[in-house]
Amino acid sequence: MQDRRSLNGARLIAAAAAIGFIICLIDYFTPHGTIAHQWGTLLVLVSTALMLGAACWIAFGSMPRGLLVLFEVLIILDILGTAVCAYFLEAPILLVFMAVALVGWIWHLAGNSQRISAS
Amino acid sequence: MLKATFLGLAAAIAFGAVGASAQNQIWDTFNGDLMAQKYSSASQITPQNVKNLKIAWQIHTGDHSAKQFGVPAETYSEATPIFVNNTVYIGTPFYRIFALQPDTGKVKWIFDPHEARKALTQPGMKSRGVAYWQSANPQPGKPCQKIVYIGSMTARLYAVDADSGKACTGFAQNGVLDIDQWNTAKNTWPMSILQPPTVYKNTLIIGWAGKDWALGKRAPAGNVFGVDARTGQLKWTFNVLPPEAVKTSGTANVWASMSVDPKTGIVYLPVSSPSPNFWGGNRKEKLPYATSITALDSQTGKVIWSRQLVHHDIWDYDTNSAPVLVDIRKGGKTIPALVQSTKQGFLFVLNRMTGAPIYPITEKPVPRSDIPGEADSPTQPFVYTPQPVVPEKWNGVSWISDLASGGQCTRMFKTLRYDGRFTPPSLQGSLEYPPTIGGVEWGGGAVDPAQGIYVVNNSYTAQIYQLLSRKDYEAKTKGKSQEETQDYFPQSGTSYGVYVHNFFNWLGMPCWAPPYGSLSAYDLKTGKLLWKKPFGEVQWWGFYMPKSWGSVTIGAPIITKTGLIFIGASMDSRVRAVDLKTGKVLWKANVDAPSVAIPATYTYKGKQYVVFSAGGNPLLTPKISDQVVAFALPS
Repeated sequence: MQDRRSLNGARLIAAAAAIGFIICLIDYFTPHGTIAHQWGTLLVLVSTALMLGAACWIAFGSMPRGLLVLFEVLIILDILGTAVCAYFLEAPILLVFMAVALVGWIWHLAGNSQRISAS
Repeated sequence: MLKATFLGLAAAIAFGAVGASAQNQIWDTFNGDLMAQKYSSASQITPQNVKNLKIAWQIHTGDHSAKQFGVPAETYSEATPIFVNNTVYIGTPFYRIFALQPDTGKVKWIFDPHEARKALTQPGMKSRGVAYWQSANPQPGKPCQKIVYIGSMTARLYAVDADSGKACTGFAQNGVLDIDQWNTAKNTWPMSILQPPTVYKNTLIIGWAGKDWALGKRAPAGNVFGVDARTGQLKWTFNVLPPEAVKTSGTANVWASMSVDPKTGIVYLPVSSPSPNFWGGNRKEKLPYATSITALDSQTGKVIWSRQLVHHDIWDYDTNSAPVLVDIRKGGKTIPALVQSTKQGFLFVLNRMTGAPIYPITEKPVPRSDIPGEADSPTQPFVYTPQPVVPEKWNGVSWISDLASGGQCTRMFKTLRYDGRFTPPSLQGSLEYPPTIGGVEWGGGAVDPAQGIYVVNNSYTAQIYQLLSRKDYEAKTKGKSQEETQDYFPQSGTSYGVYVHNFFNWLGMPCWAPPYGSLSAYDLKTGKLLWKKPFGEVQWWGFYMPKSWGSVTIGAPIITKTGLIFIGASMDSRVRAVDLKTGKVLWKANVDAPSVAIPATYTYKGKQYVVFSAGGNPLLTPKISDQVVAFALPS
């Protein structure tokens, strides 16, 4: 049960990152869009892709505890960084999905800490 | 119930009758009207409902280029759409005219002169659109009783029937007037007609554009022409330069729009600086009309009065927009006035009948040039009421740009000469604030004539002017590509070339501290500033910078009777409606590229439209488009 909650959190992060990635992709290629073909859009495209990869690895793979903690730290930095970028890109939908990813991260961490304390 | 139905029916009939008989409100010139007020009495869109504006129609003309599709030059879309003759007319940077249905944007006809797609006198291809004339006594069944005109970079002026889009063959040579026949230096460059002519009664008043930064001696003299609107025959020529100066200088042309007082027939010319722009050692003659505002009789070309706004201009401070004509009620009197915005940031408010200042103009000592042979003026005219749009001193180095570039901005600044406004160009490099790119650009301001409120957008920019001895100039430019030398100007025939560039760090960030642009409103009755707000937003790599920074602006505002300002102008590809009372942005919409043209508003069949040409300007951002978009309230 504790593992399932933990994994669901990571899955939520992955889902939010995937949607964020698609939004960025659309924004990047929208003709005459306000952030089309901009370095900033490319940056969040990369950051959401990395977030998706890391969250999927946690959700569907296995890794040593040290690496897990490292990924958790990197993911929260990625979420916050992408959210700040989304704010300055004036991309409100991306910002909303970063908030969803943050919820997923807290959910994941809450489940994870219970699992760690129970073991 | 029966009574209610009857009343409803009566109201519907009454409204229908009003709607059917409602007069269309037109926008028939570049500046909305001859007085360049950029004001409309249209009142359907109000501060309360402006948030509901939606796209009514849009078209893409196809006439744009970012040096692509085989077109070697970028495009600058600076044309105001005009609405007259129940048609929206717009000129494109390829010098085509589109005639559009005003409520749908459906194309009625397109006129294509098949002009060369080359930037002969400008950094890119540009047009500020079209002008319109109609006969006071139209002859039924005859063509060209209503004519639309467009000029080209090759100095040709085309006259086209406003109803059919066909050339008016009775105008000049088969509908084409070659302005270059009057060029005083034909082996230099064509006198490009980028600004549509000013039309008053049956006279076209025509100025032209060149590249006065390139040549020194023997550039074409900046003559202005009065031409018959029906035949293209020359009526008069206004010689801006005295005969003795034509050998040593040139230009002092009128490349911007002009205004006309329809009651008196006086045309007001914003006269630009003489060539070469940044060194005046060759042109020591008195050039009283250079960088001036000059009033002419529109039917004879005779000078009524003239006031020089910069003496011996070595900053390229062209007078660059049509003065706004407005009657000011002051001290129980009505004064026929004009307001002239300028690149140097001053707003000159003059009596338009005499040229006398309504608010004081002071001759003040300015920093002196240390260039051998220069004959700079010891004083320049200053105006403190209304408050200048650009302050006396710059805001200093931007700490962000400085930090990002490892202190490059500060290091560069320490090498420059900077003594405040009117710092002359120098060999070491001079910081100019404001420089030639403004101040206020060619759009000028707008006025609400009923309230006497004047609104103007401006930029805060810094450039470096560095004079180079002929030897140094050759060393820096010889064998280099056009891209590498695009900021170097030869000033041929003089002792100095010049390097004019933006004060940017190696990352392309402005080295001067924000703000970069603002929108201001003044009470012309008192000269007092009512409000001043940062305007627009700057994007770097797509990220929007703080709103307090504003944006560099090109273009101009328009005002409606309901107290709304409509304006594009900013770098962020957005168009906005602003509250005239407070300066608060009430509505904004994204468009394809910066809307650097003056917008237009009109009513057609009882509905008000606001039209923006959103084609961009490569000086602001690389974003280019061909969009013309009209907004209206939903039906």
